[in-house]
Amino acid sequence: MRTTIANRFDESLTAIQTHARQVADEQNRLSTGTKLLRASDSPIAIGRAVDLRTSSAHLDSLKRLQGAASNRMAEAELAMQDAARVLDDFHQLWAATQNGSLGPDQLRLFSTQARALQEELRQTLTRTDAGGYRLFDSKSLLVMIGGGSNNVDPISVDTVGAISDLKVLNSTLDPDWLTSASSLDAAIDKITIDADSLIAKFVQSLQAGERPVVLNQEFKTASQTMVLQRIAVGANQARVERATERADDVQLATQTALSTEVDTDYASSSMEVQKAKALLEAAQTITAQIGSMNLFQKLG
Amino acid sequence: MTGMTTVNAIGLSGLRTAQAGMTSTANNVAGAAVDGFHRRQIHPLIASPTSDPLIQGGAVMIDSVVRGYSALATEQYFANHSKLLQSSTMSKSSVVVDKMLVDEAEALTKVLNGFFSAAADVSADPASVTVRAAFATTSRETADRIRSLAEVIQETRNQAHLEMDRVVQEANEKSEALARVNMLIQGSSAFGKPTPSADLLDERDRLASQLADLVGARAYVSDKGQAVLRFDGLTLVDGVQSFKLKVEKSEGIPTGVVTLTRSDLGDDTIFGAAKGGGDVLGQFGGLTRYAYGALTWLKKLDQLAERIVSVTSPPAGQTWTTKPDAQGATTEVAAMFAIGTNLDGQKALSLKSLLDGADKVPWADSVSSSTPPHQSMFIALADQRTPILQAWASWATDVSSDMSNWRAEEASFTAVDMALNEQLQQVSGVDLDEEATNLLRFQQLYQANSSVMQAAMKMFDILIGISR
Repeated sequence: MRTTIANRFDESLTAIQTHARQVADEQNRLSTGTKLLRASDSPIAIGRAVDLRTSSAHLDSLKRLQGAASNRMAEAELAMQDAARVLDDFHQLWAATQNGSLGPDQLRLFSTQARALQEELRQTLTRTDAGGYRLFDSKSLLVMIGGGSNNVDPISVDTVGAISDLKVLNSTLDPDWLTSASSLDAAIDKITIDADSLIAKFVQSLQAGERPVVLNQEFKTASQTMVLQRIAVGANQARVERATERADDVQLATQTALSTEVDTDYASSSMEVQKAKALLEAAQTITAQIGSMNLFQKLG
Repeated sequence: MTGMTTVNAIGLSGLRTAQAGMTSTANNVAGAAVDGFHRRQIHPLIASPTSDPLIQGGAVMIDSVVRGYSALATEQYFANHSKLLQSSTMSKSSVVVDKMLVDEAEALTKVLNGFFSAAADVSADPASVTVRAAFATTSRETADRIRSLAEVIQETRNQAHLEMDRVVQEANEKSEALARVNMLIQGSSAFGKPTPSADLLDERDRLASQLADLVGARAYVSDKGQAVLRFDGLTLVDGVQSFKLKVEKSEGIPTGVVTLTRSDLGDDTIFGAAKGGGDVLGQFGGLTRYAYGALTWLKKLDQLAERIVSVTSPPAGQTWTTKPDAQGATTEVAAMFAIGTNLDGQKALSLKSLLDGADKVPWADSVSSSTPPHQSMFIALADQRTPILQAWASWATDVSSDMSNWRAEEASFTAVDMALNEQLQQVSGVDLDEEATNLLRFQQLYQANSSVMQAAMKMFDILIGISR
């Protein structure tokens, strides 16, 4: 077989180009920290990287929403606690007024306290969160805390405190009293200051120096509804917490998978650079010698 | 009996042979690094009185100078090299897109995720002006990014179209040059003329090789030694006649049809037309395939954009927001994009969006709107993250696969090219060791025949001396 000078140069130059490209690629991987320099390096890895980045971004978004839901529910839960305490105070006040030794003047003294509680309840039920949203509302305010990917429908929780059961504070109200009201404030007025509301009647009786004729369980029942709502909110808060923990776990696994897929393995790349450099130097040395590796040179 | 004259003739023929051999070796060494050079080899002939009555005794003559050439190896090498040029041209044309898809700043993964995350944020806080403004911004960014991606791909197609013109122009120049070389070969082959020189034949093969690289033309050598070139079934060069290729265009964009005209008759006389496609090799074939492949990418990207448009359209009976028009009336902004430009007579391409200004961005008005959008629409929109991103991943994977296949083709043809080149070089390349050996041989031949001449001179001197 004839080995021509062109063959030798071609092979040698091809080796130089190949190893120089390897060195450049590995150096790029080390400097950029990413394994994928070109999409054509691994089409499957490109698809997987998109999927993993999407999962990661989705989890980031969910965690932000979970945080928002958690904060709002904490505020709603606190408002319910305050409302329940006010209603308990009403119950205690009612119990105090049932003492037969109290005369009209003493009962009028209680009216001041009753009016303060009446206003406090109204303020509590109209409270808003930091974003300006009403903590108690006739409409729900849903926040996604899970799902929304891989054909799983979004899982949302309602972060609004429910007050529909406070209907017990006004026996004249319809079942849809909350949604049929012209506004939320008007609905709250119906259970706090409306003439037919128990609270208004209670306050008026005391102001008139009369012993209130309110049934003894109404305030307690109303307080109880707030407690039950707090339990429901607490259960939802626990759901959000579990969802957050799950998101953290999945996020960690996703980040690890993504890193394996796209990040440079520094140890491996460093070794590859050294190897490619050695091969490049060898190819360059051989190329330099090709010109002198013939019989002409040997013969002088 | 051998006379003095015969001895001189023998020595002289040997000297001439050695000199021709050394000249041939010098030529080979000088041409070793010249592209397309075929080594020359002299074929000496031992002549004797029995073979040639004019020769007394024995003599060495140059029978012929043979060019190291194999038609089979050359044809195989050209054919594979034009395939290699096709695939390497596609790889080179796609370099920009190849790098862009792994760049988070230019690909769509990040911006689409940002868009859906912003939608999710609005769903949780629909009354917030800040959150709605952020969403309007991401929607604008998404539109811009998709359009930018489409424009970059379109730009690489435009480059390919421009490159086609250059390639065809160069091919036409080479065709004319090859026709001229054919004319010289024809002149050299005439009766009474010396045979075509090896340099002329080298030039013929060099031009045929370049035309194979440029437009994937297939070369045949006629019995007269002239090159005949065919391009996609059309004759490009036939003897002394060359034809001109011309890329047909519609509104500046190649239609894929290539016409053939005769240089001396002008462009109006069309001798044939070919539909340049996957069968055309060389750089031109690579550019055609790339342009077609990129068009397919753009159409798929358009489909992806249409999906985004459809998912971002508000549910029936609801509107995202309204925007004032020039007359102050409000109109509904129902979709995020509007698909525009027609290309190749087909619907849509490259997302010519309505989003020329911020005022036309859907939801942009929601920033100042007193009525917050209904959060259920945004929950529904945020829910579309996975299907849209999966569609994007599918697009990116398809495009990456195309580019990966082209690189694999290139690697495969490169391996074959190296093997075929080695075979070709074994026939026509210069081996310096062989040339050195030949040089020694011719030097010894020269010295030997020089000694014969000296011996003859001495004998002649002695004879002269005796006669005195």
